Amino acid sequence: MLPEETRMQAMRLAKQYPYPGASIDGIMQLLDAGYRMEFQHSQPICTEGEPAACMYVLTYGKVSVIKRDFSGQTRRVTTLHSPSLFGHMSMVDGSPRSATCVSEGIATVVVIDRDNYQRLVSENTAVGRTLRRMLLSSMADQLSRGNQRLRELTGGAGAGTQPRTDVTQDELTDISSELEGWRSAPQDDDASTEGYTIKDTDGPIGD
Amino acid sequence: MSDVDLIADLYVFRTVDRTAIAALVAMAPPQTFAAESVIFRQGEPADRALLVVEGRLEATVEAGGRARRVGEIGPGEIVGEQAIFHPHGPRNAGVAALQASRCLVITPKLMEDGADNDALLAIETYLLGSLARRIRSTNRTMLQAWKEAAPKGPAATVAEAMPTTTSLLDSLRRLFGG
Repeated sequence: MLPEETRMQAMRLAKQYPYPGASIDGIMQLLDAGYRMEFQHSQPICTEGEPAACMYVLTYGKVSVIKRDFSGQTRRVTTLHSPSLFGHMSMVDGSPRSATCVSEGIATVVVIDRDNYQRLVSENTAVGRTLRRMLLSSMADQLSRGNQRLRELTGGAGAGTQPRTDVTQDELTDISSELEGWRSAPQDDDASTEGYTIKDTDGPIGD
Repeated sequence: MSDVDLIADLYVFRTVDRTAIAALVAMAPPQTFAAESVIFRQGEPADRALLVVEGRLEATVEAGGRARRVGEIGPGEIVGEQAIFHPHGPRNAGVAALQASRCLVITPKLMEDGADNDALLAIETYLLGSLARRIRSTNRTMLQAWKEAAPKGPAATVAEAMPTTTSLLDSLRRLFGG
């Protein structure tokens, strides 16, 4: 990837996964630490139930997420848009893939393999910190959204929240997918960096 | 014991040099909370997380006018970490001190100012494991609720094996409150 392209991706990722001490240079180093792969339309990237050897940063295109629901039926739960992290839960806890991911059109990913992940995640460097904090930002968001939706279903969301009177397995599968980080990324306009300063030592693109 | 001694004894910091712990304590001296004092209120904007150094805290979730105890937080455990990564969002639970407690206060600013500190790296590593366990545990619990609510015995079709809305909601309420 060209440096300007990497910088652009890094800036979009910083908005998508805000974290304290966010640094564009740190995210650029993270993108440079992996290797790039391009997938053609309908090509599988990872498969539910299989052991995981890497995590991905979707840098271009879209990816369909297909998952077995609570009754064992297979269905598409969401479409990921770039930039998104995916496949990271399996890296963090060593669990098998929780969904199948298939490219929609041409998709480009940066692959961070297990060896690289384990080295970076334990490093006290800008790139190690970037990886840990982006993962924590993503997982804290996953847990918060999933729990909030569960509370809404069960009527435990607090004063003024009406309990739901029905629930479907599709909704439960959606919540389960959200907990595991399978959710469609909001577009840049919706992303928030409230509370943080993003360090961009070289200035914005185009300057 | 000094704060540095207490923190160095916690499992989270087992591989961290005392110098890094001392630097962390200098940046963010632990705070004491009196027994039964309210530390976080549910719904208020979140601005800090706490790592319990000494003592015991209790987390409660209030719904429909009643409070439900959802967990205890002891030495080496962290509560309120949402505040670090999604500051200003509402607290999901209230937290009070069950006994006089001493806690490290972790703010986004501390994470920025002490970015190179090995003790903060240890906290981040702990949080990665802790969040992953909680995410998996919540998912397992949902699956359990689904199974408990499904009709017992062999079902001729997938539709017959589906839990009814009422029984599934009852199971979910038992597990998640409401």
